[in-house]
Amino acid sequence: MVNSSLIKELKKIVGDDYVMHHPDELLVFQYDGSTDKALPDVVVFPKSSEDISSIVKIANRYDQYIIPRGAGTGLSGGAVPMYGGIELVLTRMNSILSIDVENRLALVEPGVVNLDLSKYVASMGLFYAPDPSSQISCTIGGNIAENSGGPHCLKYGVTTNHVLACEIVTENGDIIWLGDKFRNVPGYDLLGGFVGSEGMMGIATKIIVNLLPIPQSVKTHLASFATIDQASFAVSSVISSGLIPSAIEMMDKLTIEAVENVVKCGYPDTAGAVLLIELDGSNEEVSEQSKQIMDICNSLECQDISVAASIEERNALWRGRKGALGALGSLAPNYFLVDGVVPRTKLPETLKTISKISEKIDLPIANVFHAGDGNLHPCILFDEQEPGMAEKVLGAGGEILQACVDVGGTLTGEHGVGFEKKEFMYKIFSNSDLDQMLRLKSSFAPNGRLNPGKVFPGGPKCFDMGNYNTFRS
Amino acid sequence: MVSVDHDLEKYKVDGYIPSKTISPKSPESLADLLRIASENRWNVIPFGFGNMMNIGSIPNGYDIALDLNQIPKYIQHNSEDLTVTCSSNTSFGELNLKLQEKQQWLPFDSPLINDQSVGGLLACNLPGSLNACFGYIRDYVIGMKTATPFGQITKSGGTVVKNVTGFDLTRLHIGALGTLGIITEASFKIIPLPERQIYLRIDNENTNALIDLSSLLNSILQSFGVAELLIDSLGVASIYMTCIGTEKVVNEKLLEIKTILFDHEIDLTLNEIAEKEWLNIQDFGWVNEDDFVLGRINCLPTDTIKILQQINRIVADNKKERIDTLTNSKRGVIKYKINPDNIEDTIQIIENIRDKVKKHSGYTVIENSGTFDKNKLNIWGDIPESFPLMRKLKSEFDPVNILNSGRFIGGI
Repeated sequence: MVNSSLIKELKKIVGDDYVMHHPDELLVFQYDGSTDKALPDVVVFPKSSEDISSIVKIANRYDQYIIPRGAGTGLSGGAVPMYGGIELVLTRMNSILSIDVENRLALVEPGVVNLDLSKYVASMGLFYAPDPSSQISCTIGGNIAENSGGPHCLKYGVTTNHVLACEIVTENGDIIWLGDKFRNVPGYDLLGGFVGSEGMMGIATKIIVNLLPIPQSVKTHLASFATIDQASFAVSSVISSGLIPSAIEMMDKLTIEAVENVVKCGYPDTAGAVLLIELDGSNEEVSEQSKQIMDICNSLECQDISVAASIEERNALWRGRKGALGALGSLAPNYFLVDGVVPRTKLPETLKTISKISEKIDLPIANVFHAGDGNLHPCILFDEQEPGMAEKVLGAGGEILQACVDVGGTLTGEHGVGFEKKEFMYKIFSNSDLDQMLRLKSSFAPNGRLNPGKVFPGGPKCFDMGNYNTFRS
Repeated sequence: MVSVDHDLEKYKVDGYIPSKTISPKSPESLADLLRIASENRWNVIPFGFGNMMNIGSIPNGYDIALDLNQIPKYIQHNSEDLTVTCSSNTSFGELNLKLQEKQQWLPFDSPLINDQSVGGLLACNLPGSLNACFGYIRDYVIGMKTATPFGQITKSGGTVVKNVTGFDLTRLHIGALGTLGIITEASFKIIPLPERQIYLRIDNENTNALIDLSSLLNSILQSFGVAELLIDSLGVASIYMTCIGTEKVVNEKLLEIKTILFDHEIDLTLNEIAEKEWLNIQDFGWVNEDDFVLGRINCLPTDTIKILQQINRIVADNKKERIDTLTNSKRGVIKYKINPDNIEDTIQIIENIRDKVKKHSGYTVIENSGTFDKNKLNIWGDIPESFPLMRKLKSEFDPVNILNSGRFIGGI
């Protein structure tokens, strides 16, 4: 139960309308996009860095945890307040503060929606490259916390490649800048350590991102294959041919069925798998590479390959891909989305293992993923009303992650570790590895007050691990 | 496990000679040595190929030179996955040759690029021209192993091209000059070798015309190339360019450049040059490095030419010192090289430059101070407001301060 004087102090900072603490008001803030849930004690909507600094200082006085949250679209429980505390919802801080067209920079607040930034700068011939599937609602602050990617990160990289500087509020309430408007500033790359730290090291309150010129030409190809094996082989062939498309996305038969049930974007129902292969760049470059893509896919006996002839056709193809997860609802009441990465050459082998896991648990698994960088997203379809189903599904998710790790892959390519995968961290890292990460965290936030219980195995403070404290005096 | 080298002179750093040189034979013995050094509070300076030892401030002490060259070397190239993993003492030149056998590469062109170890390249993180087209070294590192002062080999990242599992420690070590741990292995994502790369030079005594032209060429080249403007101490200017891409793209860019030059009011000749000449430009200030003080300015691209013109005025006002500059308006970098005849004049010039750069919110560091007395120079320039966090980070990773102590920013 939250102390009433705490509520009073919080209201004094942000105003009565921006503090929620009645139980029914809190319900919606117990979730993000994952299966985890837990209630915060109080929810606060700050408007400025100074508000956040004051709130953090108050939290310290009242010994409360702080859980930063953007749009709550995260898929690993990163914004779920597992141990209660003050949930800091940053959606009011949603201003695009300035654009420097010549240097291609944007200064934004953390609550700016990802796609809104690209829309805002489109008339200036620019765009913001990281494009998570949730980009119509996820925020740039949340993207920084999770180091989010998206379909086009195959060519453009993930969030960390596009963030130049952040103003952050630290665990003790200080406001400082990390990085600058250009790269290679002297000193440690603290910003590089901060991006992807899942809200545990500070709260980003202003962000400078790099914008890119909108490419002169874009071509989106839809290639269909009889089997997922053939499609996987085509991915390897494209990558090893020396082409770097801006995106290569794969959808299997089950996903195609769901998409055509709901979105109806013209994916072929006879295909075992389809690939969306997008190229961008100069007119000459793209048309030359498009021929190469056609040749590669045709040489691998694809059933069909076509190029979107208009923006409308291109948008329809992407609407299918971006709406795929939602469309899976037409096949089952619930799905559990797994995020793992494998070396690209291990895609066929890993997809076979996933298929075996599906047979073993007698539940369908749909695959819709970023094939170009080996980032798998198997979706286990189930009905949570059936007894024992949650354990079964979570167990299968663990087996899939183990399969990724076994072929040299990793636990998450873009969703983050959050709460969901923290106990899996030992599959990848030793105590000593985690100890080093804790040292980074401790240099920013030694008291574990920010977003506790995430990333690291164990309880909220994570201090029971490994060799931490060795040589500490 | 280790061998001891008694030829101490070759490990000299800023005039300091180590008490002992140790060459571990494996990453594990390296980690053990670091643990022992921590327990005994010995100051350790890691030594790769030794070409970049002029970087940084004067060390707080120098008990042990850790020569990393006897650790077994390896390169694991997964060409179909476009990734490579190698030991940190691998020569970057050899690594890129190996990648090129499969028509792949790492597009780095930092100074002395082919004479650096991979670990040294990462620890120093000096920018090169190609950053403007292909991004920065840190954007290609997907995983890393490091030896820590706690006696462990630890890893972060992995060998896949997309990975957000755990905190990104690799970025902390890149450019940290080995002050947080010693890199023992690195994994990179790599890219296909371009179909064609050409190198070009334009010379003209009309410096102002070339200043304007270099900016124009950089915008024409877009992401397919980069132009560097060299102005030597006699005021003679040259533009060096590289253009990279498919045969078709390179030919088109070449045609655009020729058209610009043809239409230009002064007579400009375009010369195709050898790769070696381009690499010599990248080595600006690092060949005969003892003779020069080399400074680097980082600023906004749109401020680059303004700052260059201010430097030119400083140069014009000072008749004694010889100053060369190398300017890249695309990535906002100016390097300046002073041949110091007079200590006081050199210090004054550096301070004047620093003052101008500061007004444009840029940074100046001294990359290479040659034989100049570092006590008289502010090597790292102004410390950033996040410095207290940097100090905390150092105390977490190297609590008794044995690794390259005193050589990094703010005396870290």
